[in-house]
Amino acid sequence: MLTTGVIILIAGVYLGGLFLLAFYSERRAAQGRARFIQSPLVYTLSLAVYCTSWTFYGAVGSAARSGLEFLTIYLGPTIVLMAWWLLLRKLVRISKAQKITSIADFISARYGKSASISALVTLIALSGVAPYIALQLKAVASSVDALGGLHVRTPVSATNHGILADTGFWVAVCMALFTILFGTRNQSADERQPGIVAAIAFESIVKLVSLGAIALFALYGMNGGIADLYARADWHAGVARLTTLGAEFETRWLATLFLAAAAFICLPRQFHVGVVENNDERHLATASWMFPLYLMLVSLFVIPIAISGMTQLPETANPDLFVLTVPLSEGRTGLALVAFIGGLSAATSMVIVSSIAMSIMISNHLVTPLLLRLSVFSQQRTSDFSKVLVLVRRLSIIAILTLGFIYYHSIGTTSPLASIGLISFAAVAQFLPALIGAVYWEGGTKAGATAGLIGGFGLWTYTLLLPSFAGAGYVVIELVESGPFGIELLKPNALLGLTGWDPLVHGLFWSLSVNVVLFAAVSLFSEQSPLERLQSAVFVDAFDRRRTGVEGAIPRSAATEDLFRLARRILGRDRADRLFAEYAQSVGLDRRADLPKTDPALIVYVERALAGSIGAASARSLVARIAKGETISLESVIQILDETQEAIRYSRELERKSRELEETARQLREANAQLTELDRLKDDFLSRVSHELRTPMTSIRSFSEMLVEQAAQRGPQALEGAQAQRFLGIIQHESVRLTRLLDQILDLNRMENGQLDWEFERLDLVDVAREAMETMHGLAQNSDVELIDGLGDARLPVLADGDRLKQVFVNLLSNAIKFNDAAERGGIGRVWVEVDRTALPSAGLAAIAVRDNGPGIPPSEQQTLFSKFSRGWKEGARRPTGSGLGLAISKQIMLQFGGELLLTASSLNGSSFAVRLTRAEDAAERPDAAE
Amino acid sequence: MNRRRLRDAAAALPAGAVLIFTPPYMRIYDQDWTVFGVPFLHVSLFALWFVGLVLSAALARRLIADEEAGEDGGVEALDAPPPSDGAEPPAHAARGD
Repeated sequence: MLTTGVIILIAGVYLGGLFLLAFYSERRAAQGRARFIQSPLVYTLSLAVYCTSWTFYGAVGSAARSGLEFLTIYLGPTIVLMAWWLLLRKLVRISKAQKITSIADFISARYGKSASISALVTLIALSGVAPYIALQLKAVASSVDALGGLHVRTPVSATNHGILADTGFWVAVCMALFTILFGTRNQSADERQPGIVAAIAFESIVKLVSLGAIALFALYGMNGGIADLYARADWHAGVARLTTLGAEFETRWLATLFLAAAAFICLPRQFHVGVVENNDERHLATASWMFPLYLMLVSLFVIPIAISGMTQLPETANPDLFVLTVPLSEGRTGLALVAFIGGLSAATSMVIVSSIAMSIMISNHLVTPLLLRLSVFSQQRTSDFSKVLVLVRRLSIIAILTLGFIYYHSIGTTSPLASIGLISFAAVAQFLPALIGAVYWEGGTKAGATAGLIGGFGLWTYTLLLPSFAGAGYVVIELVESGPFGIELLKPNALLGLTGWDPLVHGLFWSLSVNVVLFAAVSLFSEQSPLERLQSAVFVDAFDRRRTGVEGAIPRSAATEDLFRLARRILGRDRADRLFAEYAQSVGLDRRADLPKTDPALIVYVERALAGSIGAASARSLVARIAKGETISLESVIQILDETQEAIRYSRELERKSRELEETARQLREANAQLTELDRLKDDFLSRVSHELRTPMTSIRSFSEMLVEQAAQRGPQALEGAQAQRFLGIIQHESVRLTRLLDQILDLNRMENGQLDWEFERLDLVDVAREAMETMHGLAQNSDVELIDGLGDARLPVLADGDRLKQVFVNLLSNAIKFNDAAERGGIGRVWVEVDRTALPSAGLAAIAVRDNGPGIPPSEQQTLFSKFSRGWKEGARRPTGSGLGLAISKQIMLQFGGELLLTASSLNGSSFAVRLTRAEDAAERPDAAE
Repeated sequence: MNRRRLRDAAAALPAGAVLIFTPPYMRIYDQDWTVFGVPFLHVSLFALWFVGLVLSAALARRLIADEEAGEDGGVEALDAPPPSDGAEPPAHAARGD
């Protein structure tokens, strides 16, 4: 058995080591070499400050007393972290933008930077945290006593020997010293404290490892593994609580789950490590699974320790100390010491972070506003306020621990750890409505939040705190037992006759429901101040980038010199100089002296920086003293917000217009390209026409010149010679050709402009094709080309102009005959006319194909085949060519009929053209039906 | 998964966790069976817990990757954080006079 002296020595050595670790980390960080402190792992481990000695000792106790309910304390935060994307991320984003220093600062900043609301939140937090700190003191004190063998078997009682003999007193003193040495090294709350963070993270590892070691010992040292542990548990009635759910576990389960989730956000120390000390939103993503993992492991370790304690320790053993007594019962002092160190870690980390967070709140929201009112501090000439601030923080830490000790000393020794912790949770849960409203409801007002907080806190005091004093045997016991003045309806444990409820559920129900109702109702019936309106928009739309900088739109002016003096006074010389140098740099100036005499953006900048040190409310009131034009109306704020909305709309409108302009420009470019192309085609056409006309004209001219010459030489009779007759014949032939060409051009032109009159009649495409074949019969025979009629007895009724349609077929046939070269290749030239089967699938089409075994049309020519003067067959081909307009005209004709003319296939072995028209079913069938 | 679904999932996961870890469902796990000697209640609670944190890890990775990818413009990217740490530079927007 260890003596108390040895235990305290070991604890001292451990705390000393921790101090060195923190000191070393701080040194490294100052040199910029401690990047690991800014890692997501360290962030997650610092969140684990959630697991205090309540977890370390109390969870086992709670598991032994009330079964699986202890799990809710760890499931609550698990759910909150899984929802990091919805809530924590937003809190972090806002806190970074607004340089928030604590949860009180957050709520105050949202509700118009109100000093009164932050003071209220601080007071509530203080009332809630004092029992929690008492819990840590109690846990450490009883662990020291248990380890020293003082009261192993009986509940710890330390009140008999006076304060100095009380272990809890010395624990409190040690922790106050440690926290003051560490927590107040920096003057500003917004500057991260790497030493503290490193120490907290390290302690989180220590407590997990230590609890794990005890759990393993319980499993394998005291039992034969997992199955054996549960098998032995079957013999023990108490363990049944842990392996099944109670008959009415529901309400308490829901209440504690909710409390744990709320506390994980609202506890000042959790807000401090989770939101204020967060330096990267992405750390939340990692913590969203890593921290639940940590909690799951802790919960896993609790179970074997609780079962072993229940099954193998005497009935009288205090379940809250199972973690220590389980190894001690087997004589494993070393292991018990490991457990003690783990519990000490859990307690110290909680006390350090809690008291730092609380000292920031007390100094910023309770003391500073008062000090700034004193004339000594409000004078411009007063020197460095930052030193005062540090002193205030140190005194605050002492005050908090004193308060915790008083609570511990007066009542803390009788209630189990978990019930004390839950009372604390219920106190800070009162912040939840105001906090959630702050980030999701623009309509919440300062009056509403204040009313909700006061109402909730009042009922918490009455229904939860008061009975906890009564349990310790004080005069209030009468009030709790029979109600004030004997009025049963007002009994703290059964308000308005709600008897038979669990006290925690009862208190939580009343305090939170009144809180929410007051918050909502008073908000609905009260007005927001201009600044509140502005802040509510900034908070609720935190992810809207367009809202940033809205604050700078408030018309204010302050002399740069005054701002600088103010910053120096509050932040100290060095920080103020650095601050202004950074600002000057960010606006592209070299020195502070180059800054303009007044600068609205600088006001916002300085106010933010001050807020990071003394809170939003105090910063605002200080800046307001030197800034002119500060009084703004609600109208102007709404206008500012509307203006940003307007600016957004305007820019959207501009965007839309520029898109439209772009579209128009694109269309114009396209139209221009088309026009250019048309112009080119026209030029092309003209040059081709001139060329085509020139050939016959040249021959007419030359032959007529020759005739004129001959007549001049030999007189008129020369014209009667055979040669002259031949010349005249050529002249006549060429002029006919010329006329035909001109006719065709005019024809085509009229067709393209739609100036031609068409006579549509019902006719059969097959008949028209046959007529054309008859017409071409002679030409075919002359050219030794065989015309094959493959039409059979098909009927293809269409609506068209018969003469024009025939012209199309004639043209196709004459091309097919004229250019057929099969004979030269040793074969027989053939042209087939048949029903176009390829068009059959699309019903309602009448189609005929004209196929030949001629030379085919080279791919390069196929594109332009149907344009004017194009010749699919090479220029200067063996046979005289046509005008080059035939196919173009045919195509135009078919288009006029609403049909088409296509080249369906072409190869070296011939080509195939298709004439397609809409089938005139009705026209063809009606006569049949009538007969 | 597209951005919208990803963000819906970020809300659905905690909602599902609340459902799974509260009474009507909790009663389901309270059975007489044991798994290798361990009560079914313990096995199922911790198994669900583990599954929840695995899902959370998978989702968190995608959310962060998506946010980093989505920072270059687009209407939806308005949700993305400012390029740097946002708070430090003074409000330039206010200087637009």
